[in-house]
Amino acid sequence: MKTSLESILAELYQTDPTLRDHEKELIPLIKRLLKDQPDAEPTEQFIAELRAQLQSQARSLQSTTLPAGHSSTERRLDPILSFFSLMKYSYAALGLVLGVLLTTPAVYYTLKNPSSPLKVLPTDDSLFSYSITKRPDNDFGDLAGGRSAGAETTSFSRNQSGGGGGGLGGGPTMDAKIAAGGNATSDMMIYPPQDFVQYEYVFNGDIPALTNDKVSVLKRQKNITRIPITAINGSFDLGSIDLNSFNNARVDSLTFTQDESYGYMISVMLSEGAIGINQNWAKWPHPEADCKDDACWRAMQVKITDIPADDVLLDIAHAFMKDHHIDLSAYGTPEVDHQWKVEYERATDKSMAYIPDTQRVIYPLLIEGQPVYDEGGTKAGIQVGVNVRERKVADVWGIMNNNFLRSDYAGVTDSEVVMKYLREFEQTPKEYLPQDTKVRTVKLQLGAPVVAYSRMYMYENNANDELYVPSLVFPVTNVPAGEYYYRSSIVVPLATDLLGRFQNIGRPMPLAEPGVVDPAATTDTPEATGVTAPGAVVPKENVPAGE
Amino acid sequence: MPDDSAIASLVQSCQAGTLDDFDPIYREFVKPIYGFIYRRTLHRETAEDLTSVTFMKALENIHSYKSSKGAFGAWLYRIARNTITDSYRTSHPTADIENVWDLASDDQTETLTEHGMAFDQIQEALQKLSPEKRDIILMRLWDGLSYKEIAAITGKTESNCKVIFCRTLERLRAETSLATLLLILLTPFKL
Repeated sequence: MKTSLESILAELYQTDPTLRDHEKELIPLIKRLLKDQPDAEPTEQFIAELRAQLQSQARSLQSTTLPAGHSSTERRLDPILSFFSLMKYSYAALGLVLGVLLTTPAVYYTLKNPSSPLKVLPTDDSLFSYSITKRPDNDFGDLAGGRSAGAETTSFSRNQSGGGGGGLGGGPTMDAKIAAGGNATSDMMIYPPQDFVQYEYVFNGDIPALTNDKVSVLKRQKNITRIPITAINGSFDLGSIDLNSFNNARVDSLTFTQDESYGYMISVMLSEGAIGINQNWAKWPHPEADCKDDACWRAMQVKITDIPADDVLLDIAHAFMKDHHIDLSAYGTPEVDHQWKVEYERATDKSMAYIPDTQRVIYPLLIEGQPVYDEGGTKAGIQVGVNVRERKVADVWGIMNNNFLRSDYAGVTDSEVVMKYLREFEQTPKEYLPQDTKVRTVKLQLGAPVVAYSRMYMYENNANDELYVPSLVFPVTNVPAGEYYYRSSIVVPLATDLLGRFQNIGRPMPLAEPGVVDPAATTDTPEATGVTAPGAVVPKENVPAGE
Repeated sequence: MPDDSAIASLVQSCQAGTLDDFDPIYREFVKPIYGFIYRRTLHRETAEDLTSVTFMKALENIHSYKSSKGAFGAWLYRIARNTITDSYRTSHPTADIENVWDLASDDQTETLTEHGMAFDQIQEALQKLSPEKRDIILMRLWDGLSYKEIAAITGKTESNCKVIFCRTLERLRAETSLATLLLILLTPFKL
C-alpha cells in the first residue's frame, strides 16, 4: 500500500493543527521521504523457492509427532536457519534438501499382498520423488549429435515451431529437396504460393555475463518400472493365462477408474515416470454432445463471460491438488494459461472465436529454484485443466518423477555466440526456397532473458530421453498485428554442444557446401521430378576424383 | 486477494492442523514482508534470508498467534521486526541492537547506488532520530501501515503512534531549513 502526501498531511493536521503553518516546509520533506523509499520486489524465483520450502515444512510439521518437552522451534529452527544461510551461496544445497524433504504420497501403490491388493509404500520407497545425482562430466554422451555413450546415434526432436507463416514454410525437408532439385518453382504446387515468412528476432539489450565454462545438464530418470509382475499375479485370477510365465516382466503402467458421477481415470505410466488424470468421460455431463444442429452447438459454446476469474480457477485447481495430496513442493506459484486469449483478441468476429471450455492452470516445475521451459518457450510443469461449465478439474497432466542425473558439459561463455544464434534462429536461407518465393520478414522484439532450465528431448537407444539444460529464455515482447505467431519465448541452451546442434535443427537438411546429385541414389532425375530422393545430396569430398 | 476475514479463517484452519492453508497466507504477505525487511537492510540477500526465517517462524509458531492481540498481519510484521533485530545482534554483537539502520550503512552501501537516489541526505536525517521514532516514520511512510497496525506491531496505542509520528516530522522540519528542504527535493537522482 502506498501512502499519499495528502493523507499524511491530513493526519498531521488532525493531530496538531498548528502544523498547517509549516506546510511549505513539510510538503517537500514528506515528498522527499516518500520519494526516497527504497523499494525492491522479491524475485519470482525467491518467492517460489520459499513457497516450496514452506509447503515441505508444513507437511513435515503435520506428519511429525514431537517428543514431549521439545518445541518445534527448538528442534527445527537451527537447521532451517543454517539452510537459508547456505541457500544464497549454493542453489545445489536447495536441490539436495528438496530431494530429502519431498515425497509424493499421491499414487504409490504396491500389489504385493494378495489380501490387500492396494498398499501404500513407505515414503522411502516412493516411485515419484525429487532428487539430483551427480555423475561424471559428459556422462550422457555426445550432445552435439554424434555418437552417444551408448554407441547409438542420437537425435533431437524439437517443438519450437511456434511460428506460423506462409504455406511454403512448413517443411524443411521439402525445402531441401526443392533446393537440391535446383529448378523447382511454385507452379508445381497444388496451392498457390503465399509469402514465405521469415521471422527476425531483434534483441537490443545486453546478454548476461556468461561466466560458467561448464554447465550442469540434467537427465530425468523417468523409467521407474520397479514393480515386478509377480507382485500383482495372485491378486486376481486372469484364468486363461499365467502371467508368471513371462520371466522378468514388470508392471509398465496402471490405470484406475472411478466409476461414479464426475469420476476420473488415473493413469500411472511407470515407464515414463508420469501420472495423468482425466475425467471419466462417461461419467461427466456433455450436453453439447446431444446437439443435432449448428445453432444448438453454438448455444452450448462457452462464452467469454463464462470464463471465471483467475483467482477462481486457481482456487479450484488448488483444492483438487490438496484433496488428492498431489505434492507440489517442486513446483512454483501456479499461473493461469492465457495463451488462447491471443487468438481471441485477434478475432474480428468474437462470436466465432474459439474459447476453450477447459482453462489451464500451470504449476511450473522448479529445478534448484529455477523455472523450466519447454523448447517452445512455455513453462513446463503440472497442467491442471478446469472445466469452465462444471467448475471442476477435468484433467491433470505432468505429474512426474523428478529424479535427475546431473553431468557437466562445456558451457557457452561468448555472448556473441548467443547473439548469432538469435540472428540465425529459424532462418531459412533463400537458396532453399523455390525460385519465385516472395519472402516477407517479420521482426519480433525480444525482451531481457531469464536464466532457466529448458527441457529438450533426445532420442537415443530407441527411447526418448529428457534433458534439462541451463538456458537463456528470451520473452517475445511484441507480435505485429495480423501475424500468427504463438511462441512466447525463445530458448537458447547454454551447453555448447546443444547450442551448436540446435543451430542446425529447424533448417533444411544439411547443405553446408555445394553438393552434387549422386546418380546411384535415385532413378528419377531431379529435372523430371523437381525433387531429389533423400540421401541424394552428397558433399563434394565424397565424389570420386575425376567426376 | 484474501481480506482480513479470509486471512483469519486461513489462520484458524492452520491452527486446527491444516498447514496447507499457510500457502495463501504466504502469497498474501510475502511481498510486503520482504519490502519491510529490505527497506531496513537495503540488501537483497539479507532480505531474502530474513524473509525466509520470518515465514518459517510464523509457520512453526502459528498455533501461538491469538487474534485477540491484533491482526495476523501485525503479528507477522512483529516477527519480521524481531528477526531483523536478531540478525543484527548476531552480525554486530557489540553495537546498539536497536540501531538496525546501521546494518545498511556498514557494508551494503552498494545497494544505495543501486537505487540511484540521493539517499545520503535522507539517511542522515533519519539517522539522527531515535530507533523508535524512526521505525514509526518508516512504517507509516514507507511500509504504508496504518496507525492501528503500527500500534499492534510496536505495542503502543494508536494515538501515541500518531503523536510520535507528528512530533518527529515536526522535528525533522524544524531542524532543516526551507532552503535545504527545497534543495533536497530538487536534487536529481544519482544514476
